[in-house]
Amino acid sequence: MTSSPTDEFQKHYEQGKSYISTSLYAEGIESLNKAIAIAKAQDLKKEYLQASIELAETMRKTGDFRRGIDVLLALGNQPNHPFEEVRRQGRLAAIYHEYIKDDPKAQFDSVTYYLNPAIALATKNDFQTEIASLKNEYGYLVSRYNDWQEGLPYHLEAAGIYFENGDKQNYIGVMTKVLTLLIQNTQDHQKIDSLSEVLVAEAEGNGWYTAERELYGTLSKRFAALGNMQAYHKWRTKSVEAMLNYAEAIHNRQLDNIRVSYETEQFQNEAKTNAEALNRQEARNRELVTYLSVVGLLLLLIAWLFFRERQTKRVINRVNKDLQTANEKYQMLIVESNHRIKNNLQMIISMLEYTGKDVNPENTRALKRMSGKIHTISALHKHLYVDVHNPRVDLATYFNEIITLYTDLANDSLQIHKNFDQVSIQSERLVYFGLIFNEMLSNTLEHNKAQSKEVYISASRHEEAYHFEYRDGSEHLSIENAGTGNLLIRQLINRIGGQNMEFDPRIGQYKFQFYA
Amino acid sequence: MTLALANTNFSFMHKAKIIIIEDEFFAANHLKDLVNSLGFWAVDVYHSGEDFLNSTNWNFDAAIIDIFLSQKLNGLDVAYKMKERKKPFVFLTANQDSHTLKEAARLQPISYISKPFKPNDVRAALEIIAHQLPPMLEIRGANGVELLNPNDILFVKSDGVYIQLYTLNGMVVQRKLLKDIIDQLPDCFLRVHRSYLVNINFIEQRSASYLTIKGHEIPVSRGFKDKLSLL
Repeated sequence: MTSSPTDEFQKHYEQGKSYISTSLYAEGIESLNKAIAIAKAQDLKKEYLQASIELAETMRKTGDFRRGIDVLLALGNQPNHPFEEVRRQGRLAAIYHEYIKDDPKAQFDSVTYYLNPAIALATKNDFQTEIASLKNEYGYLVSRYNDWQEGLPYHLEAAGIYFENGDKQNYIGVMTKVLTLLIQNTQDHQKIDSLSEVLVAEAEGNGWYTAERELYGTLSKRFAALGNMQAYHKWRTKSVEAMLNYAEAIHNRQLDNIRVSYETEQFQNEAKTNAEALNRQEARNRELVTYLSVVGLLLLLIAWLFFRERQTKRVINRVNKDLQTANEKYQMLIVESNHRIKNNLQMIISMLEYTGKDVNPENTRALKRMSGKIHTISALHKHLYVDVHNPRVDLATYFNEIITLYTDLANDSLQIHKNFDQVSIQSERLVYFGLIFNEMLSNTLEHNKAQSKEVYISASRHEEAYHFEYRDGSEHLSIENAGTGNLLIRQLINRIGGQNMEFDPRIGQYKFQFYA
Repeated sequence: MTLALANTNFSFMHKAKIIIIEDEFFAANHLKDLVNSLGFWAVDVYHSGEDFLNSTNWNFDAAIIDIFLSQKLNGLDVAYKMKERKKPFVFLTANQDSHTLKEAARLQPISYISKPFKPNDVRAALEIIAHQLPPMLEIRGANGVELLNPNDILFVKSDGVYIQLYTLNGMVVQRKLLKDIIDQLPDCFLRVHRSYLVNINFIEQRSASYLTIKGHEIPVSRGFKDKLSLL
């Protein structure tokens, strides 16, 4: 928590006065200058005047009269602050009183120049203490410069004011001056003794060491002058004791001041350290808040991303599930279709078999050829679906099925030598390859009269193209005279995009090229 | 020794009696012709599992069963019954997906025939059946040695040093001990009494102390009850 400017001023101002009261003038001046700087910066007029007057008074005490005068004159007349104006003029009077010693006239003029208006202003405003102080000063001046009797009333008036206001220390001080005047200027021992007795009684035991010192010193001087050495030593000793007590008191207060100053400094340092620590802590707190805010935002962002990812995953899962369901349905439909196709092919084959019971051998042959074609088509269906739908089927796999079929039909009278390079073909196209091969085999079985029929078939790769060759070694009708079987073969080869077809009827050889 | 062979329909003409369970009419007929043409005897054709279970007398050696039958019972259900009766069977299917095949494999068929079937596929399957069937029993009679399919025997009764073999078509006596013929009979024969071996496929009724096969009451000994109760 920061203190107000007035508090800051007061702190330095009181500190300065405390230093000065214990004769720590350098420290006092430094504190007062700080107070003045604060008052000036904060435009605290009254406080500025108070501190400046105190500074000038300190300079008086240290003998730096010229600078004290400069400070007070620089303040100028202060009609709006009568108390401070009284003090300003009173201090100027006091400084001039001490400063000008060589020229009594100038001294008197200078001092009265400031004292008179000060007394008038203090009286006008009823500043009792200031009146007492100024009149005491004036009495002292007049006593020295004019006549002791002229100054005496001022001293007595000042003493009366002090007494009335309960300021016995200053009262004793003023009355000691009165006693001094009486001693120096009269032989009224009764009066002097009486006053001395009263003052000693008032002064003793109160710790007013300066007042005691002045009083006892005055008494010792009196008894020295009277030749009463015993009394002289008594009061001289007491005066010295008072001085020593004063010195000790001052010393103790100085130590107190130093201790307080040290502790204050310690406290200030500690406060400063604490403030710095607090600032650092606050900075750390701010950083922490910033960090936590960033972390919070990141967490929110992560939570949002996580939520969005979950949403996305949910959508993806749903879509995947839908796709999977659709795919399963699709697969199921394919399985069912394949199943029905094979069942229907089975039914057709069986119907042909049934029909073949009652027809002549020629028709039976035709039905067998038809049945063979259907078996050829159905052989492909075996490989179209094995757990999953296979849109492409290996030519060798398919042809091997057909070879098995015809080998069975021919009752071991057919030997097929094969050589297939690996090539997979779309099922829609491959079925025509099967029908071509089927037609060629049917021709061989029908037209090759050899007891043991040997067929050579190959599909070999040459760069991008495949060369197909079929040969059964038997003589066939030329292509022009061939029946529907050969015509069908040619048409089917065209259908699959076969090129450069060659047919050698002498050895029953078919050749063509195709692309996968 | 009198041999009662006159009314006995011995199966020596055929390798085995086969039934066909296939819902598609033409395919079933085609298969029947094929089975008969391959030296087997297609004794019955059924067009559903229900039809088969309601009307069979279990007098056959093996079955060809279509897995996908159109009515409530499918081929797998029927095959389960075959397995209970210890009848070998072959699956006929147009479906080759692994799920179906795994389900079918658990029932341990003799073989699979894929549709559309080829004669050689059917032949191979039937030959495996024939190979796994118990061998024909040699029956010595007035006309010499004839062959009797053990699956045609309803039960065997011991009578001293003779045994009486009861079939659907009559009874034949052989000079043998009961223990001598046990090893020649398939798993479907069970000893229920000191003097009786029965073909479980022909049991019609059973109680605590006897069972009935085609009108014959056969005693059941206490010591063989447990085996019978497991059926």
